[in-house]
Amino acid sequence: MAPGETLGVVGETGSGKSTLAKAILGVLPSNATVKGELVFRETLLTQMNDETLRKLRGKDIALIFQDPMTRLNPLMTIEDHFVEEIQAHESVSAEEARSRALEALVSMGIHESRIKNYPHEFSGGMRQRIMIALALVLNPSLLVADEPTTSLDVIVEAQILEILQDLRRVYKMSLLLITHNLGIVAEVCDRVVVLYAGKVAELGPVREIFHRPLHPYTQGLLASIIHLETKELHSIDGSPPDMVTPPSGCRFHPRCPYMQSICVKTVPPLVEFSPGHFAACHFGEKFL
Amino acid sequence: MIGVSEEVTPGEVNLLRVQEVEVHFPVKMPLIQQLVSREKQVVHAVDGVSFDLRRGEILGLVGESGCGKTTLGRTILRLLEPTSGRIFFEGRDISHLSQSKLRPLRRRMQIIFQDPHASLNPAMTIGRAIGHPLQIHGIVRDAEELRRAVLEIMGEVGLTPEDQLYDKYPGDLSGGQKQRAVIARAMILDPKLLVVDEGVAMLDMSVRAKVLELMLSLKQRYGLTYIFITHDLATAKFLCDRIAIMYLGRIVELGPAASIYAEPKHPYTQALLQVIPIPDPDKRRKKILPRGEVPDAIHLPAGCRFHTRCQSVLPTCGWEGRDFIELLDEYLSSISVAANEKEVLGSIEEWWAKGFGAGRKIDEKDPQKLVEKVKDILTKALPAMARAVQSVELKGDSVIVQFRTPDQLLRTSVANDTVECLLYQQSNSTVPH
Amino acid sequence: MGTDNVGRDVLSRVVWGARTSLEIMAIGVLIALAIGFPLGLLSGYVAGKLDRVLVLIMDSVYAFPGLLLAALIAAVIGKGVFNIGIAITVIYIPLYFRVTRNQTLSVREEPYVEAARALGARPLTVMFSYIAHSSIIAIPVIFSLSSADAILTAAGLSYLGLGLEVDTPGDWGRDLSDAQQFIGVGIWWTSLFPGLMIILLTIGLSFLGEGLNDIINPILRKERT
Repeated sequence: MAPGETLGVVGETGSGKSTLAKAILGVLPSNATVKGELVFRETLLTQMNDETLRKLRGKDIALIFQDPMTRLNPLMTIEDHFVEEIQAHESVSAEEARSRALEALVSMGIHESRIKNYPHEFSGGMRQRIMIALALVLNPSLLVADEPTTSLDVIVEAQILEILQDLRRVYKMSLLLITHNLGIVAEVCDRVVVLYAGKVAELGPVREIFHRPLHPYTQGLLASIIHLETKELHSIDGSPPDMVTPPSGCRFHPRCPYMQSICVKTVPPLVEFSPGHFAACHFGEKFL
Repeated sequence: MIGVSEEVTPGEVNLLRVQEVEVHFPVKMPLIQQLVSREKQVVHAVDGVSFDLRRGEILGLVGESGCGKTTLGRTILRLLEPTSGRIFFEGRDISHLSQSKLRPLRRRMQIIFQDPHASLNPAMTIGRAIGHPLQIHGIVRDAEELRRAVLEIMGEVGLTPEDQLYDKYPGDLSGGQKQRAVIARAMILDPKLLVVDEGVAMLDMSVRAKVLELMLSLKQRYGLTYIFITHDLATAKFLCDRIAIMYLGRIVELGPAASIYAEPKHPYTQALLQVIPIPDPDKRRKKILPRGEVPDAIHLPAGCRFHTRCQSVLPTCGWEGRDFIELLDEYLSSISVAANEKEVLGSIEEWWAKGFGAGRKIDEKDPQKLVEKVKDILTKALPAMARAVQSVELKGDSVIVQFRTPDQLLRTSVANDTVECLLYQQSNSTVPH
Repeated sequence: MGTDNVGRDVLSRVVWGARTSLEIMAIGVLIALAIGFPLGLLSGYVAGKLDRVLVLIMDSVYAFPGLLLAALIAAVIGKGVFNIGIAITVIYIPLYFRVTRNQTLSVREEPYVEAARALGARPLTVMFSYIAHSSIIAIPVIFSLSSADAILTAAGLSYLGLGLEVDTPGDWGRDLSDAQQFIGVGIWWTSLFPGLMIILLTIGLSFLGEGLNDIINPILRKERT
């Protein structure tokens, strides 16, 4: 990810996108084995000890979830949340922490007077805004958003997306947006990664992905979107992959309309078919 | 008037008639509060809904959460009892029938719930679950016949291989398969009306189309009538013949799907259409979003319920004391306003709102200053709100802001749609309450 | 294991005592289950006034010290294996009631239960085909644990002389009571072995309960996700 860019990670059930988010934040369950490298600004995240990772988390990398209540403590006021967050990473007085909290809240469109309220006194949309404000109060350079608007209504979702985009401009922050909703990816993202069965199927600039998808899975996914101009319904045959015993070769082959014998035998490499546009398909160039 | 027909012979064309149905839930209050407060608080989940459903049509109930669409769906099926109003199913008034009288009717109307992962009994095999309705209604004679009927319907909904899946438990199935099982279970009784509550929202996008196609093909084959409850306008447009847009318990617009989308009349419909994300990066556009959030369903806004957020609001839409307090609260909370400015107004707790008025007791030497300040704030408010103010004056020991009474909201026919919005009402004269 | 003061073989008494204890336990706990389970199911499902009344009754019984209550009941209905069984039943009904009711309450709001109603299922069908299963899973654990407790209660009753007829073959509690007076003169076997048996059976049943819990709880948790 480049500084200041918005990268969308798209996937459905079994794609591994949520696990990826947890891996970046270092909150995987203890029985997980991690291979490969996660590099943040030249530092190897996967090699870090818990203490350094904790300092990094919140300060440089922030995370927001689908359900704000997994982040918000029902027994603490909003003000307390902020003060705790700020003081955990910076040595400032409670006074200063409080005034920064106020600033952050008001910039999210929440009344000053509500800073002493408890999470349950806010609606779902407002809680999501609080969670975003909490994530941003320390000026992180990377915000990881895991399905941030999935449980929200369309109008609130639009409000939140607008906020995310404004903030991105103002704070010059990078945004990793994990979602299954291709509509919001088209609205907000610069580049897109499409995941299938735990592997990257396709990666590229947003226009390329939407207008010239190279991987049959991406093509199928785009075709199955129901939007206002939809005249016909399309879906992808078959069911989500079994992640305990995934299909051999290209994991998408059981569902792919273009499958050939090579797809069953060999795992397709991720190839750059056009500048910045990668796909893991033996026949990627056919779709150029 | 489109939408509610009084003259049609019951049972002929309309499978279902819903007339001014209200479903209110009492708010649970602690005993002390119950004794102290005089008014009984209710959640106005559904607050006066009327429509007819023709045989063979697909009606969409579209709205955000809290609009009452789910409650309405359940009430139509009599899983809930309406607080007032009438429901006619196949010409018969089912509004207050007892559960035992409703039982035989249940064969003719069924519901598909939102979450396929929670709609199946984890202790029953798929085969047994799908066949259970036949046992409940005593339709089959023996186990042999039951099994045959279940396998047949499983084949029809695409739950194959039937023999293998028959003995599996819900936990062994994928989301799409579970939803098919739920559909099979509902269909095995051969219902005439199917209420689908967000039937595909919780499924992966690549699987949704299959389930929707199944629903359409079942409709063709069995002459089903659907009520499709959803918040997803795009799916509703594709699937439905007519669409009812709901907001805070009422239908604000009702009409053929094509015309709702081509020419949305109600500002809320317009807002909803605008925010649908378009899956094309070249089509990004700036959106005009409604202000604020959905008000709670216990203390409904006066006049038109959408007036607190409407982008096309008029002075006659229902401005009331509470709206002024809201404005004041925002003003007093704003960092950019100087402290001495706020001092004149006092703290928000000193202000009260009642009906179409708001005010506070004065305690300073120059009450006129307060009146001037209030008028000043109003100039910064929405023009519609400012023009709705009847007076700001000193009355006795208080300063009172009084709004004009709003115009009465009526259901109006505009082109092919029925809309409930003052923008489309001819007369603008105030109707006394 | 030696003989007691009137020449009876302690080992035989201990073995017969096991039979008696298990009989009492079986009657007591099984009837408690047969009454508590359906009542809990009904109360949880129907809610409202019936539920409140039942909960009030059950909580009152539950709050009463078990042994004392059993003693009172035994005093009223008289001695004998069956009667002691009944006395013990009363103590454990609230336990089964509670567990079943709690499970019922949590399952009641699940979509598949509402779906059952929408299909036209009668309340009894909904209760037994759609709700009962989650409680049934929890029952074996409760069964073992309350059985362990029942043994102790039964022994306690006999110890107090409230339990069984004097000539009932094998009565651990009574034997303990009789053996008390001989401890001073150094006769330890008449009290040790019955006491040891009570402990062993109680611990054994407790372990059974814990073990069952370890097996069953993951199943319950998996079901909920």
